Amino acid sequence: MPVLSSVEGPVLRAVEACAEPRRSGPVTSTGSVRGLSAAIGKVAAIALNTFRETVRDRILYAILVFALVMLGSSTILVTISVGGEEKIIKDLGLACISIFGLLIAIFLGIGLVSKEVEKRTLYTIITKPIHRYQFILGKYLGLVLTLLVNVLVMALGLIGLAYVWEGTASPRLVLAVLFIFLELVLVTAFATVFSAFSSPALSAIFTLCLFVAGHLSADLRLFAAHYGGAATKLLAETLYFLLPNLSRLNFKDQAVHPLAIDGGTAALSFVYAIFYAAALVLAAVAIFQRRDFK
Amino acid sequence: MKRRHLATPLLLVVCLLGSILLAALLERRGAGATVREEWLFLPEAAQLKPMLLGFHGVAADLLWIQIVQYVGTHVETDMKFPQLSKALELTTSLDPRFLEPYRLGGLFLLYFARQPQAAVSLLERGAAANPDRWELPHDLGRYYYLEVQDYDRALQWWERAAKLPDRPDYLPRFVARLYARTGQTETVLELWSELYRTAQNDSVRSLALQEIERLKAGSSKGLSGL
Repeated sequence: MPVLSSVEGPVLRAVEACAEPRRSGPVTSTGSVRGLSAAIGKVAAIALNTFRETVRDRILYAILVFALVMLGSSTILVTISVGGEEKIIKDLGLACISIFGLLIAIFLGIGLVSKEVEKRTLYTIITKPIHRYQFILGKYLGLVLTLLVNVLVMALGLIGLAYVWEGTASPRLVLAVLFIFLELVLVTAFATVFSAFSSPALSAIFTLCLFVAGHLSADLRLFAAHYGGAATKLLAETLYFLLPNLSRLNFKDQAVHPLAIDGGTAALSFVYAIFYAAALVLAAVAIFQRRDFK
Repeated sequence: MKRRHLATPLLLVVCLLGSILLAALLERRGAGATVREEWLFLPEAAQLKPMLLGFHGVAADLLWIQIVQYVGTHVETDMKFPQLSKALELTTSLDPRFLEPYRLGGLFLLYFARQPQAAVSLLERGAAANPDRWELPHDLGRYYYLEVQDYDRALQWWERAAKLPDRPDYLPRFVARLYARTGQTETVLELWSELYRTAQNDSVRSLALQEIERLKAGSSKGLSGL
């Protein structure tokens, strides 16, 4: 019998509390509503416990403190520049949020499932009245919540700095941070997929590769259009639409320079990120459901 | 037992001191200078930009800070700037909306590197990339007015700048004077005073001050009217 960690106890209690009573009769609309609310309750319980578990991780604090120090140090860096101080502070701040958010997403995301398997705590959880999709969804949402809190802390630091430096905080900056968060939501979804079937090290490598590929997909298409034959062009075109187009979520330039943001493009990019992340989580669920833990 | 406890911190201190000593020795042998060799190879922006994974704005900032240091070092030493134009081109290609490399870079190229063609080309690229900003046509007009006394071209750029939002109040006055072909001394003095007032670089400010003093002493060349 595996020993329960400090997290599994609350998870199991919460899951059991939300567990729907076993019924043999026909499913009524009241019953399905009750079933849905029970499912949401289980997902929420796992998400909250994942959040509690990740915020206890020391690496998270190390990354967060380092990010805040880097944000602060941008004020030192601008003293050796001539002009463009506001731009440099915003650029560095947004890059900090993006890079350190990516580190958090990868470091925590890759162990999402594999850590449970490694510690053998997963075996205790899957014996409970909980669907595997609920487990994956809860884990993913818990990590997204952790990321949200971290991005908020870093964003407040950046907005505070921008306010001190410029006397105002542009709403564009908030929008850029929102899209950085969406990018991290996507990266976390990738990490969850890989975590569902691979080791943490391999998951980290795969996730990082997809992050890079996601930023290069447009260039890949351009390259094929210039130098490739028909087959290469077709392959590049397929990859372009298949890979996550992370450059669509990059609004840093618009935040730093007073550039107009097309509302329609921003809205479409937002929905695109949500759809892509949903597809990835579903893929993670599909993989996890097929895994044999005997 | 006590000896064993002392061994680790002692070794740590020895290693730390050793590494500092070795770093100092390497510095004396000029190894540091090899690393600091300035921009032997600057990549093309088209090749570099995809590798930056969306962080091209930060890359442009960091390169700009390096350019400022590079100019500062060479102004104090040999006044040679072989890679300045290329570095500015790379910076502005990475972030075409970053105005300082065009504006200050143009001044560096013009007054320190003595490369007027490169300065004009840089400013023209900036004006094309930022058609809504008054600063770059303004600077181009200043170049044609002060440096080559091509008043028609100066008028052309200033007229363009005067139509753009947030332009300084003096621009319509300059345009009017150019049309009337009067007030050249005042315009020159105002231009240098404005540059002195807004310059964020000590070298540029001292250059502007020199010109103002020269003008006030009445020894400036080419002030005999149009």
